[in-house]
Amino acid sequence: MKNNILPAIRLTLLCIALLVGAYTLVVWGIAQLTPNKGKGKTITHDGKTFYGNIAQNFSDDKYFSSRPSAVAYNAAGSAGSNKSPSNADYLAEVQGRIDTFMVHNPDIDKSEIPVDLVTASGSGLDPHISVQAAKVQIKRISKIRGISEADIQQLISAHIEKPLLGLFGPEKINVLQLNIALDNLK
Amino acid sequence: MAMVFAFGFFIKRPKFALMIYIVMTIGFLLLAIPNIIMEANGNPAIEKMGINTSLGAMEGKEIRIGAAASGFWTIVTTVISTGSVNSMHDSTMPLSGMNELLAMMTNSFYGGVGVGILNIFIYIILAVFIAGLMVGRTPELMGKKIEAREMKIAMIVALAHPFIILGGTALAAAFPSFGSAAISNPGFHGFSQILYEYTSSAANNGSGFEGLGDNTPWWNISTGIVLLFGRFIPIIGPVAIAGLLAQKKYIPESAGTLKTDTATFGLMIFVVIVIIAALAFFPALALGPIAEHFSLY
Repeated sequence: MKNNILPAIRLTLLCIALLVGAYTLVVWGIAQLTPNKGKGKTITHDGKTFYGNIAQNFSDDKYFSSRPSAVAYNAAGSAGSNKSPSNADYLAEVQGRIDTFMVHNPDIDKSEIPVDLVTASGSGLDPHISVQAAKVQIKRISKIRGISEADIQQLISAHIEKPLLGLFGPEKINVLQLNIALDNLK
Repeated sequence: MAMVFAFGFFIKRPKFALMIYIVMTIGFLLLAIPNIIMEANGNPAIEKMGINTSLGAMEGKEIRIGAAASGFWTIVTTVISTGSVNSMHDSTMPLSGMNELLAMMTNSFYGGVGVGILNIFIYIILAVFIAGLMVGRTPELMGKKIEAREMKIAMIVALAHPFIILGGTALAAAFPSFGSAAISNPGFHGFSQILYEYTSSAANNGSGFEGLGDNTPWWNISTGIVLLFGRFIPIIGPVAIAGLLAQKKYIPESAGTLKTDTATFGLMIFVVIVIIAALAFFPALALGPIAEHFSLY
């Protein structure tokens, strides 16, 4: 009995010291070496600070819009819609998003809308859109802002982020950075 | 994964370990590749609305990860007991959902945290017994005879997994106030949500079809019970078998011994896994993901 319990207690204490103490310290220490000390990448613009990797709602037509969010871009309650692909309510919602998009962008053809602009992301906070999703909004923004389409096209090309190691995932664009650059273009 | 090779090293049969590893990898790829293809192809119901779905099924997925890599991870996280997700499994295509379920139902391709490679050993013992009887040889594994008592334990372990999953699912589905009150998607997919919750508990996985409103006493307690059985029966059983085998006399290999490190035996293990794990769940899968698939396409 004594032979078994004492080593067990010692092992427990050692594990507490290692996993609760040392491991946390190591993680915290690595975080101190990263930009902004592990508190998330921020972007400062016009005296305001934004989190660069948290999506925001750009409902104004003069900005590129983010992907739809199932949690209304609430960063404290990240979640997806969890709707099944055959759910009739969900498909009606997607159809509604397509129709809304067509109202705001009357100059484009429906087949140009990429699927990421009408489906909610898993986190509800996806900061990126696909390249096609940015291109499809060029005509609307060019008309409202009075900037030539070629200029916006160039801006988009400059903001394309390559996939990790050139392998994982499609090419993407950070919506917030693109919109800030768009504001600076004037 | 490393455990398989460590096992081969310690019993000095690297070829046997390699055979197990190949069986696991084939099983893994058979689940992962269809998922990558299905997720990359996208949702046919959205494609019908006339928009560009070349990015795949993006509902519940992040742009930086993409549909293909998300589909791949749905299987990685379910064959081993990670339970972490980078896309919402609830919104994956119906048959991808089925593969996620199958990965947890077989629960032996690479094996997970806690139970590790014990599950595949149960299947190996069953395969030794079935193959031995088929060719009329004494069922032996590593010089130890496999007899009725070991077989009984192995069968209890192999059948406990379907029993607790299907039992729990049947109970939840039978009481609408617990089952259908919690689901967030109507029809076949709602049944898949219930099935997934119990499968995930039994396989000690942790991922879920998260639309299920499962933070109620019924779900917490019933899945907790399933989780306990799902974790400890597959540990107690193989330890008992090991104890029984350790008492037996070692019989040197002879011409009459069934070779266990060949491709044929690997195929035999695979067939046993398919028969026991997959077919036991097939009726439930037919009601959930498969029915949803045919309603969608």
